[in-house]
Amino acid sequence: MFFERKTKDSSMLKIFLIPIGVIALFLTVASLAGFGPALYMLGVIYFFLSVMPFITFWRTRNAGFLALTLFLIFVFLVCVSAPPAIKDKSQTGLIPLFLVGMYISLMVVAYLTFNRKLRWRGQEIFELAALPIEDIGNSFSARPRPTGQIPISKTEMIRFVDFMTKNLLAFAFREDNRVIFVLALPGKETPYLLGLKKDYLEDTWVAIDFDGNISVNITEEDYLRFKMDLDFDQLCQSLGDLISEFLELSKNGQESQIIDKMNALRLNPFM
Amino acid sequence: MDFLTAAKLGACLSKEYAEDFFKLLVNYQDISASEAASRLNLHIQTAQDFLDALTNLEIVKKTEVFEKKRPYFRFTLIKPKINLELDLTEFEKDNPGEGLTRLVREKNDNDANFSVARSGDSFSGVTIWKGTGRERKEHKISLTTPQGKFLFHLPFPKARAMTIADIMEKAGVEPDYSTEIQDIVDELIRLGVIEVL
Repeated sequence: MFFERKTKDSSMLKIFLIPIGVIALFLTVASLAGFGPALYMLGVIYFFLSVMPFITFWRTRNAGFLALTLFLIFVFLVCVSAPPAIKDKSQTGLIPLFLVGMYISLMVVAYLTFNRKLRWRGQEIFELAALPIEDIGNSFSARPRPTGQIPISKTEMIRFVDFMTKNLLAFAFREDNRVIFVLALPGKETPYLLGLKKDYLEDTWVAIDFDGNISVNITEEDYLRFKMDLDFDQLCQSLGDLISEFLELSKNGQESQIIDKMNALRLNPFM
Repeated sequence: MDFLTAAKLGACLSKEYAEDFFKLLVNYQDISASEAASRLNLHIQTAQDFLDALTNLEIVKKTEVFEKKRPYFRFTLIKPKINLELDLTEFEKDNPGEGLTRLVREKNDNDANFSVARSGDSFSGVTIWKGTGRERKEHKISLTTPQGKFLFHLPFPKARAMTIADIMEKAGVEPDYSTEIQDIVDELIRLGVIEVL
């Protein structure tokens, strides 16, 4: 699908920052204290790195993050088991098993990453919402906007909440009379995953009440993610319509079409 | 009776010494401020102010008296029956039907913040900031439920403006609430939050 990108990409530097940092640290420790301590250090780093994917899996039930956790755990096990084996080749122990586990989980993670199954989808939702909007002009308003109504039952809502959360589209907040979907935009996920953020007031959200009324709130910070000043009223309406369309597809059991729509944008799977 | 006169009369009647003062005025042919003050154990200035207020309300008549000493005023009751009647319907918005046809929308860069109500489908209040730096002042307006629903459906800046009546219909606000809706619209127009096209 050819389309004009309307959101800004975050810096590529962030993606490479952690691997470059880890390699630099490994080489420094290896040159100062040898490969044994460097591998132990690397193992500890990978162990800590595995915490966040596990929390993500715990919160979203996205099995891809479990695979990522397993990969990082296998790397940790390989790293901490390798130094004795380097000294004495008879002490290989379970290293071959760990290596097999590491390579299998690496393949799974690579497959999932390239298929955008580990990608937070908020930016893709923004792109789809912005797609039909041509008018521009600074018309931002820091208040929610009602965008329409769609009939929905509680069961359909539960199904939709599970879909949105599991596929990394949004974080759901359940209230007495409605559910609020906070869009999983790049850089916004960590506080929600760690449970540091208990409310959604300062983020971009779409609320659907149990009568089916949809309202949209886009923050100024997120509005600035767009390359141009898109007509704010149309943008909010379009976002509401998009979520309404997603909900309709979910009600009909056609969730895969939602994912296909987002994948068709072909945004960078690593960002 | 207009509101201002009623307010002045109400202020006079609410004085704790008012009843005793009127008893004096009814039973005396005329009385001076010093005589009333000494009789009611009040400060002479208090009695003077009270009598002047009643004179302005045309309840008593003030007459200047010249005796051997310096001239002074004596007061005579001229209106022994007071009717306090206020027609509050005077405050009703003029021509609400026509006012409802005004095309409105939110004004751009308005320095206002809308607080969402617990129900999530309306606003509970609007806060407007005026001025800059130390002079910056906050003006909070609590909204009634119909007003909150109305403002929740107010078109965004630069969006297609809608008539007040259409917004009310979209928000599910009954026409009976048109006067209070117009009141908040007028206030927010004055504060630069809403614009009329």
